[in-house]
Amino acid sequence: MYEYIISILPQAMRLTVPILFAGLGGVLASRSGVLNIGLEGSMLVGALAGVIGSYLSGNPWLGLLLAILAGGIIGIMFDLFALTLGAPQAVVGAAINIFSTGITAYVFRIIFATTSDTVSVNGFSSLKIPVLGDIPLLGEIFFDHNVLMYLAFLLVLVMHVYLYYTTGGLNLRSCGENSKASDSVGIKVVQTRYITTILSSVLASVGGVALSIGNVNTFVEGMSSGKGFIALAALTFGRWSPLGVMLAAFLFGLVDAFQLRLQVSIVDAPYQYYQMLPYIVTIIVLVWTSQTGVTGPKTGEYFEKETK
Amino acid sequence: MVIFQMPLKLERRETEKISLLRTIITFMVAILIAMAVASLLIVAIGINPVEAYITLFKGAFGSSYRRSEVLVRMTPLLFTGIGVAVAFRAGMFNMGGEGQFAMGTLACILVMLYVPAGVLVIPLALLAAFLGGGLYGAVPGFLKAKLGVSEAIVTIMMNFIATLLISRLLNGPLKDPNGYMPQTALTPPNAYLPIILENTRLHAGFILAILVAIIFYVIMFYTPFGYKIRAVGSNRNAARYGGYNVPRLMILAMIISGGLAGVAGAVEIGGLHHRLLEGVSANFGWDAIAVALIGKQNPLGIIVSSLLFAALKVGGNAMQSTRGVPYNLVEVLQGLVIMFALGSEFFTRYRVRYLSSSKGGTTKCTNI
Repeated sequence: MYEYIISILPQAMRLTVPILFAGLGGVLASRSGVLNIGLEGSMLVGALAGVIGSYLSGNPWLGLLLAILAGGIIGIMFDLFALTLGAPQAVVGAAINIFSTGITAYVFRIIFATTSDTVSVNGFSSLKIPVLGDIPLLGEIFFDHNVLMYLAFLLVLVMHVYLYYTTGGLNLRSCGENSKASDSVGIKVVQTRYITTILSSVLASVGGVALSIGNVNTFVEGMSSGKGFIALAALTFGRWSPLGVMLAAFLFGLVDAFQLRLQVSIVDAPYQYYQMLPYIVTIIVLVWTSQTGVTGPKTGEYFEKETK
Repeated sequence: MVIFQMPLKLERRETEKISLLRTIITFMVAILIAMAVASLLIVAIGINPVEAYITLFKGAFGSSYRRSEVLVRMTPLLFTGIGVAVAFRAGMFNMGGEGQFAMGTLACILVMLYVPAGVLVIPLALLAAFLGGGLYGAVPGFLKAKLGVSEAIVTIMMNFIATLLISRLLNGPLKDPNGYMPQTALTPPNAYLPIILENTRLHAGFILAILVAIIFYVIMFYTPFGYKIRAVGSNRNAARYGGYNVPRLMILAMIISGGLAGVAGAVEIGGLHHRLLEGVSANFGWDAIAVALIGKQNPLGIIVSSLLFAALKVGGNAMQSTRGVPYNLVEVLQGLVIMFALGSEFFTRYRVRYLSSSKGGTTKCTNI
């Protein structure tokens, strides 16, 4: 039993991180009233940018920096078309996803086409926390991971405090509840949404970094494989709150770790069936959430200030 | 509102009605801007973008065979594009084209390989594909209509499930017993769609696709059913008060939407591959979103946009093989075209005016 837990839980924690980052991005966007289904694309872009940065400099931190910049640019694109020009947010998100699939494959082939081997770059190495990391079982599960994981959980705390215990957070949430009322009391709705959307894209991008140089130290075309959308499901399941999203992301990480474990433990298994698990669980979770009847913030509406 | 510090002013147009000509011009401009932006990527690898685009254009239209190839590519895009449009008209975002396409190919190959239907095999396979894709589309439709579950996320999850299922079957029960590749055996020749143009690959599926576009047009705009679908899409609550069975209409729209993606799969199998193998869908499910959006969910527009994207795909291949520009530039262009085309609709609501003298709050304006 001990053996089994130890083989699954640390892995589950690792697989939670990308979904958690993207999900936290989703919290910011949706709470301010933006439906960002471009998270998948931001994630893919971040995954590649991380690998390129680390490949060129040999330093994963510069990979992270490049991914943050790239994610920011994708966020600005979303803002420009959806928030300023008023194209439907869902459509802009879908376009961002198509764009990101194309541009990551394009850039990847140009930079790495000459190398025939699989690209392997320096990634974030494991950082065992002193004392806490030595606790049996718990240490291995929670305190022996790379820095991105600690960052993700720290961010959950920071966002929770910001959203629920500060005026700024209150203002942000009001934009997603009633944008006209927020505007009438002087909150800059469009400006708030610009910032949250850029941040959401940056966070999804960092999630992508966790996927590439935070885990396998390479990039594969289409490697986000729906995790951006699973993050959106985690967002709904976690009731659009940082703590809820954390738990939901962990559930998805656990399912993914479980199916990976199944793949290696059973020889000649029809592994495709196991790989379906995360997607099936996502659908089940969405159905289950819909039964609770809780509705989230109002997202997807174009806010237009009266220009008179 | 004055834009930055420039003497420009944004102003709401009195009417939002726009002429067909202006629509066409805005779209042309959107495509040109997208190409200009994408050309930065071509310049980055040291290739002259003008030459690359000329190669792309010649690659798509340079010879009669290439033109026929564009129509071959256009066929599945027309089916899937109309499929996405049907769902859109009913107010749903069907991103599950890939999965529905895959289930269509699966249903089709099962009929072609295992049902000895003689001359009826093609109609039967098409019907099976429609049902396969349609039922796969019905699931997210049902979840959306009855439970309010996001159809976008569910359809995408189901794409992954379908792709994995096909992969499993091709490596298992459906694998050609006389081969090593993960693919099925070839279908009997009576399941081949007839070629309609000699010495090309253009098959009867193309005619079927055009027919479907016409039927879609008639149903959507000239029948009560089409009216109901559009009513659900434009205002769900009003449709409900009007006494329409909204959930049923939504599910039906998703069945038609998925069904058409399924037929696209069957046509690809019957017309080109004659067997099921991995990667039959060259991204047709995703392209469909671009096709439907650019075509404004109007059959006529979709015929034009599917032709455009088919040309991009065929020309993109030529650009890759002769100029070394990776094919994925086409996807970049698609994403950009959607954004610019829909973003440009801003200028149907607003116009930019030039303030000839910015001092003293003058009101003299010149239209741009």
